[in-house]
This record gives sequence, structure tokens and C-alpha cells, in this order.
Amino acid sequence: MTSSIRNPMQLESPIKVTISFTHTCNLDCRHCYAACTREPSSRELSTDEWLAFIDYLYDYDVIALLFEGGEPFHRPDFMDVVRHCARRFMVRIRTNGTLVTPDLARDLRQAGVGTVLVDVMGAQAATHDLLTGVPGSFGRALAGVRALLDAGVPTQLLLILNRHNVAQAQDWLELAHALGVRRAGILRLYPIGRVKARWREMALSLDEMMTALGGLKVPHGLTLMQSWHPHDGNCCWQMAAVNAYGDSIGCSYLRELVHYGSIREVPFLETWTHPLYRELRAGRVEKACSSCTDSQASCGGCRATAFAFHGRWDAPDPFDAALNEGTDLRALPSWMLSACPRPPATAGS
Amino acid sequence: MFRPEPPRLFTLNTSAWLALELCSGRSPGELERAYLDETVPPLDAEVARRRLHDALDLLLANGMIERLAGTGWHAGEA
Repeated sequence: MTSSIRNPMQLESPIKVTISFTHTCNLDCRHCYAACTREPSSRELSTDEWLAFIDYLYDYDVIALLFEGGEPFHRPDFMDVVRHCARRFMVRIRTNGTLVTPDLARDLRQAGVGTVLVDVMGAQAATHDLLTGVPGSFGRALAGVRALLDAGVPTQLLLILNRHNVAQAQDWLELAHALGVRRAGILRLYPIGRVKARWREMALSLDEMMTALGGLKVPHGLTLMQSWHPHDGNCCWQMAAVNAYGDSIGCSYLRELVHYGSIREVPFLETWTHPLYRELRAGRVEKACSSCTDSQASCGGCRATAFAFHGRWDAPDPFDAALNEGTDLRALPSWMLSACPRPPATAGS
Repeated sequence: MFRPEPPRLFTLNTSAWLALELCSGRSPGELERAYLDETVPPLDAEVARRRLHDALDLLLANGMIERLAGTGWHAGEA
């Protein structure tokens, strides 16, 4: 890469780490990024391995952990891990909400969990259940949200914007507000995992996304987070993530695209020095949107979607309206359909 | 900075960060001298004192430090 634009900040070690705790789940989402199964693979890190890893992160001054999956609550030892790390870290948990009972919500509050983020994939049961593949999951997710709020656990709603739910985005905001959450996030659809095979069915054009986002009226008292222009940051400079098998992958959205090493084989901070990891954190990009750079102090937008559509790590992020340059986000490059995508120029290398 | 109870992350400005780094185990007078040693110059001593006390008020109000009886402050775990 020869680009002169780069991120202004460099970290010597991460301050927050995403942990994809398991690749199992009780739902069958058609947009699943982890291609989850019901039964765990024997390759998943054991409880003791996770606890040792978390202690290691604590020793190296990591202060925040985001647990996701799969569905983290689907693995029976998850609460043991949560209790081990809450109050030592800012713990966030991303969940489908369906396994959160009032008792579990009280346990989370008691443990000192910072925030729970619940994926609710539409404003209507029919839409949510279509996307999750499990009838009744909408009602159970909302019951989980209510239980969390009743227990006093800071709770946020997440929506992955796609063709099935785009028309309900405003109603979804109203639902979030009616439930009593204070923050809600609308996320882009990433071309990873199971959703790649359904990309044509689910993906929107950038114009459709921007029109939907631009038309939203955020209810008073609710804060909306979104990662499109002018909030399209390049987060790589601060990102660290480990999947359920112990692979260091930088960011959950890079899970099929990079592999910086296994924490079973080397200390995590050795993977932090992988040349590609360092390159992505440096944030050298061909072009950057000045509005997004100003707001996020990082350049070029998301590297995962830039690479997925252009096959280059320093390419512009086509989800950014200022950098899209005619890229049709409904058409996924064919090389991205493989399990370990490599653009044609580098395939086999 | 992570505050465990209730759990919240804070991004500190440089005044608050320096005050937090210096406060543990120091009496109020020792803390003020240490803070001024680090910041004057370029800051004027009065400006530095004001920044230190503003930072301590903020850290105290948000539960990131506690005042110890008669001795000074104690920083929570980051």
C-alpha cells in the first residue's frame, strides 16, 4: 500500500476486545454472520481457556470486552465467564435476547454487566421471525428486553438494515422507544457467513439505505447510532477480536478475511503485531471522506466492506456516500462467496 | 477509564488523566505540587491549579476517585 492518508492515532495494545464466545445459537438467522450451528464444535475454546485469556487481557490493561456469538447465552458456561470478568472490565453482551429470563437479567445486573445489546430484526413479529427462522422469537426477544430493563441493565436495540425490514425502520425506532431503551443502533448488512448466499435477496442499494436513514424521525429521548456517512469511521485502529476457536481476527466483521494467529499457539499480543494487522490499524487508504474523518478521527471508513467490494485493504468504503463512486452494493463480488474469500489477484497466494 | 459501579467507560481529558495518575497516595498539597511540576510551564500556576481542582471535582463526582479522610485522594481501578 502506498496511500498517504492514514489514521492519526496508534495504540500500543488494545483497550477493548470483542469475544465471539461461541458459534452456536438457538436461532437460524438467514443473515447469520457466524453460520452458527446448534451443537458446539470441539474446536471452541473451553471455559478454562477463556478465563485464562480474559486474565491475560486484564494484565495487559484491556478495559472493555464485548461478548457476542453466535448466541453467547446458548453456551451453558457463559455466565461463569461473565461473573469472572464483570467489574474488572466494562462488559457488553450482544444477544438475540430470547434466552434472557427475569432471573438471568437479575444475575446480569448483579454481576455488574455494563450494557446488553439485543438484535431485534424488525418492528413486526412476522419480519423478525422470518429473518431468525424461528417462530415466536420476536416475542421472546422483546420479553428479554423487558426483563433486562426491569432488572436495571442498560439495554440497547440493534437492527441490521436489509430488504426485509427497511420499510419498518421508523416503526422499529418507535418500538425501541416504547420499550424504554435509551439507545438504538442501525447497522449495515455485512457480507459474511450465511447471508452471503442470500445477498441478492437481502442487500439494499446505498440509495435505498440512505433514503431510509434520512427519513427517520428519532423519538425524543432515544439516541440513534448509525455507521453510514457522516459517521463511517475506520475502527481498525482500535479493534481487536477473537473468535470461538481462539483465532485473532481483528474485528468480527473481518472474521473470514483475516487470521492474525491463534491464541492457543501464541500470546495474543504477538498476533497484534501481525503485519496486516498493523497495516490495517495504521489506516492507510486511497481516499477518505472528510466529514467521516472529522467525526471519527479515522480515515476511509470500514475496511471489511471496502475489501469485500474492492478486494483491496486501502480501497474506499462503498457504504460511504462520499466514497461509493457507483459501486452497486446489491451485487457481491463472486469471490466473496467462498468460505475464506480471497480476491482473484491474490487467490492461492 | 472504567468505573465498575455502576459500570461505565469515560474518556478523560489530559487534565483529568494527569490528576488521576498523580493522586493516589498523595496529600492535597503533594498532589498540587506534583501537578504543577508537570504542567508549569507552559501553564500559568493559577490556571494549572484551577484545572487540577476542576479535574478532581469531575473525577470525584463520577466516582473515579474517592477522598480519604484527612489524607487526600485514592484512584479507583482503571
